Amino acid sequence: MSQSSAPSRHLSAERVLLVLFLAVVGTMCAVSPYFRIAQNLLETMRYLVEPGIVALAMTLVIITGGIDLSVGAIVGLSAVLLGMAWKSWGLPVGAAVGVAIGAGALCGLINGVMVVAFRIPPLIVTLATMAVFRGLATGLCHGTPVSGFPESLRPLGQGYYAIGGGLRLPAQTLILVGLAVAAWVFLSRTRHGRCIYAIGLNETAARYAALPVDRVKIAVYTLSGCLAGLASSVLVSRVATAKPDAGLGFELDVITACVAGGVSITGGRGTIPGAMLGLGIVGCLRRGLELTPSVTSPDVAVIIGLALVLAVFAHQVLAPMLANRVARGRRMRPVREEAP
Amino acid sequence: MAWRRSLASGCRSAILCRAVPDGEPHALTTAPGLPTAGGSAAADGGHAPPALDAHHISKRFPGVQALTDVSLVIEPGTVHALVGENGAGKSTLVKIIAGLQSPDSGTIEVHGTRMTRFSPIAARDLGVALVAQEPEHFADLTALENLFVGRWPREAGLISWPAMERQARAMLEQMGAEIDLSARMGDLALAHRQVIQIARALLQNAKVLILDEPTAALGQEETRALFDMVRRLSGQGVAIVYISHRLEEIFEIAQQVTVLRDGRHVVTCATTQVSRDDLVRHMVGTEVAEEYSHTPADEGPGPDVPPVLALEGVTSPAGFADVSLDVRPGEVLGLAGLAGSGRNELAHALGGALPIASGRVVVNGETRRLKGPDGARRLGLVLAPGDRPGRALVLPMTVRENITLSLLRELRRGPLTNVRAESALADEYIGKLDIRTPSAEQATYALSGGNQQKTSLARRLAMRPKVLILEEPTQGVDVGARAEIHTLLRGLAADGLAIILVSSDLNEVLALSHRVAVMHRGHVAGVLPRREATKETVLDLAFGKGVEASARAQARPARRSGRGRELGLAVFLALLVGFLALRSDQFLTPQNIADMARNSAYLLVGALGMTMVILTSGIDISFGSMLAVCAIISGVLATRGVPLPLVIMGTLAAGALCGAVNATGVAFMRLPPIIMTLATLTIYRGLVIRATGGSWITGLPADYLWLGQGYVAGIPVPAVVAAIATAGVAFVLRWTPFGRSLYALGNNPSAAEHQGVSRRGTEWRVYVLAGAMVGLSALTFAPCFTSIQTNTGLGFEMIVITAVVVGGTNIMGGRGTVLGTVLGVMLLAAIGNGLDLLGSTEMDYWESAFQGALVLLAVMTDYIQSRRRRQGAGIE
Repeated sequence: MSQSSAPSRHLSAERVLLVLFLAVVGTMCAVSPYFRIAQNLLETMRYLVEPGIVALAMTLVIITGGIDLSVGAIVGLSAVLLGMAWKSWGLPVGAAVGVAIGAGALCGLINGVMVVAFRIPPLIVTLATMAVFRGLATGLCHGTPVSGFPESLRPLGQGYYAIGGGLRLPAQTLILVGLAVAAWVFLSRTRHGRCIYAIGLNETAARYAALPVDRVKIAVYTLSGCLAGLASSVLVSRVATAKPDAGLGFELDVITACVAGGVSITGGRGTIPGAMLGLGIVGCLRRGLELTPSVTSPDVAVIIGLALVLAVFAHQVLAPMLANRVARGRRMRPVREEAP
Repeated sequence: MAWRRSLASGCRSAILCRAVPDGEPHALTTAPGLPTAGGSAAADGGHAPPALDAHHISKRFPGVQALTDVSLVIEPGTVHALVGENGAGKSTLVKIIAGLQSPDSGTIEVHGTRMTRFSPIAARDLGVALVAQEPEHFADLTALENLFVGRWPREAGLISWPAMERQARAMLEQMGAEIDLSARMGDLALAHRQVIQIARALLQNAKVLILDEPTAALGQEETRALFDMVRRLSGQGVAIVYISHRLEEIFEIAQQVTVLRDGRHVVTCATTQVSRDDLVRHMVGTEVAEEYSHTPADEGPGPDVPPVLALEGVTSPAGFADVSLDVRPGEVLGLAGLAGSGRNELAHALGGALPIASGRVVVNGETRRLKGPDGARRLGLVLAPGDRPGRALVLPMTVRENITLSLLRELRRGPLTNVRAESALADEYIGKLDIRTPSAEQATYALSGGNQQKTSLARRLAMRPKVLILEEPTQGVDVGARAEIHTLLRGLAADGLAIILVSSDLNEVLALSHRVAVMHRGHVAGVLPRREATKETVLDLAFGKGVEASARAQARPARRSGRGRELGLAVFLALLVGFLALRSDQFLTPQNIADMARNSAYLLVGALGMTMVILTSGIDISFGSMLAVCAIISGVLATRGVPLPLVIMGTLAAGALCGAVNATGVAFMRLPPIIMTLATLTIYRGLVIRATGGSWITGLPADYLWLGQGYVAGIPVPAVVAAIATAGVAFVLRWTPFGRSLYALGNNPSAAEHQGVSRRGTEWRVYVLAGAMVGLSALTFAPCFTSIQTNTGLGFEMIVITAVVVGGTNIMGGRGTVLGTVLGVMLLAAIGNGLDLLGSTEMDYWESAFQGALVLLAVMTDYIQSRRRRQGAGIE
């Protein structure tokens, strides 16, 4: 249901997520001696930005009832193109970032067109293009990473804003916040946002309602690719290297964040604030575990995988069960009064 | 126990005769052995129990009381007609009898046995079978197999195809039908699909056969054949419930008739003791009969008023041809005709939802093209489709959102939606149409049918149409709301709106229309002005009196489900082999062929597992990680000196265990397969790295390495294993109920479940089996090398999916063969090997891009092929 349609229930869902988020942060602070350092908490934001940017578009994609598994591969391809544009083609760094974002958008456009024009399930399209884009990334640079970027690329991924008290906010956080607000307004307050929900809830009815279903679907996949290109640029700036395996497994983080944030994998339901809370939960979990000495990185992978299963299970199976129980007691009553 | 049951039913019949009010029978049936029951049985006179005894059935849906205390008794060997208007409760009643829905109260007995569980399988076991209007079928399976899905005849546990053929032929002969049993079900004509469905019911020993509007889409010849069959069956003692809107048919075929109205039982009597007019009166009820006798108050606009919309020779592949009609402002043009006559398709085409191939559409004197619903809407043509939950409304959205859904472009303030204007508009129409809802923020699905319909109309009216095209505006709407909607439509016409009204309710068409256009087999058979339009004149035209043109070939020619894909692949493979043999001397050497077989064996074994998963319309992308788990476990076991047979068993068990985790998520937690296996992909890989610490396993013993590098009779061991696995999977898919269930589930999961295929069980087993196949795959892969790495199998799932999809297995499930998969693997192997031989190291970098592109190409080919089949498809 669209965010505006049943505010009370959504607020409560997001309230649950907020409590969960605070619980995760609290636990991580208790478990990990490094995580709880204030500057490290802020530093965690840096790691949330890249999946966060892509999660915004992924939320839209999933609400239309689709999925985009190729975002990680697009990150890799965009990274390689950014490196090549700067190093081989001699473009300035700014233009190279433009190339990366543009290439991402093109990849997304290809996904969207395949989904719409050939009626191929998004799952298959993006699974295949995941291989295509990753293959292109490896093929274009023959597996060789590019590094030695100039100083001018640094602000995107390594910059800071001092926020007082000696604490510094990672610069890219502002990109995420700005985009998140824009996506929130877009989804909840524009006709195309409403159209996205309508497509996910009943695509046929949306078509009969004369909504621009095909255009919107192509647009959300294009946006997904475009933001993956942007995330790729931030990533390259942060690690100062452009390599073809950048963003490997990235799609898992992004989808997990969305699903944990209550975006229904079957479409039609979900909000941007929810997805961002999901991102916070998953991100803090990951970062906190990584900063805990006794936990190794394969453990983190296992835990994130489990989190995804549990999140989907909770939202797809448990929540509807609870909602049904509530509905039986409450929601049907006005209808009975109204029956002839 | 049998005597108890007959006692219980005896008392039931007795009570029904005395028409004891509701409540009492329940007390009796729960205590069948009580003296009162015995007394009732005696009063019954020892008659055999009726074939069907539905007793005081009530059923409520959100917003609608569908059935109230309805009883129905049918004797063996009779045809009992069930009539009533749309929304009278016929469908709900037969769905309950067939176990598709459970009643809120009431009981059902079949030949004296009470139905305790309401499921299609329970009903089937009692001998009840429902033949729905659009039969539930498995399009990609043969007509023969459609007869037996869920209960394949078996010999020694294996499916006996000869027995199947024998029983089917005997049954069709008994029914007097002739159908090509080897044809693909989806290629059969609808009439033949219905016959297959009836035959299936009879093969399951149906004693009560429910036919729901079986003649709706049949021609006269086919109808006659069906009636012959029905008479023959009732002669054999089958009780038949016959639902039809065509009263003529009922007098021809049925002995008894029951009328339902607004979910209540009105009357049951012999067809010889009732007239057609009586039936209509019972169906309509007196008060509404008056409503219906109301004809349009005026003559409608005269011929001097220029039409707002005129069609000239409009033709569509969707099912109508050469339609010329016009409609004037202020006029209601009724579109009548039987189901399948093309009237609904015409309405949808005018709303932009179905394509128009030729002819002219003239709007306000200008020839225009309709480009989709939005294009039609720009011209002022707006369609309110009849299928409310599927097409007209987005039910989970609120009433406000549904009303304004098509109007948000007009409700903008800057780039954003003007929330206040939106609410105002919604409230305005809620008031105007008197939509009874607690608030505009109510989810639409909780409204009654009538108020849902008003919400749908509200949106369409808010779009300010010039021509409003209405499909079934009062279907499933209660009497009161129907009258309100009729009044509303008359008012709209009086205000100058042009309305095209499509309804299967002829009374409605006659009551509202100024002119009635009657369609027959895709053509306009005639246009009757109001004064000449009566039921008789309309029906004469609808049945095709005086019209001989048969525009549309009803029966599609039965096409062979050929092996086009396999043949094409084989030819392509042969060409590729020829090309490579010419370019490289080494390609066809025995050594190279053996190497190729060895190197692609693991791929084939994995692809066979994936084929089975994809057949059920699932997917498993954790294959690569599972391969790593199995390879590592086999290596660890081997290096610890475990004997080879135990290594093999341990590896297979590890694969099956990984598969079982996936299976549990998919089958029992009902998680989407892609999500579940995306998660386990990470989890399994994480576990592998954690367990090995990233180090390789070396020092593998010789007997283990033999698995990968040895020969049996000159053939590499992995190739032998793969060949055995191929034969095994082919055998399972063809000869076991499990294998056939995969196809049935992939084709039509709900129909498969209705036929007794366990969805959970089958899904669970297929993922476990796929895991075990990955284990086997690991045993043909890991021993080919001297060490086992933790990144074993990265990207394995992608190659496997490529092979399967290229081999012609439909990614949506239900269609695919082992031969296709084998060819797909051979093709990939030949390409890979060829590139190596031609000395292209460059290709290594591009390999994954190439595979992905191949998958896209394969699914695009599938789409283009399927589109040819679905000519005339619209926006859906």
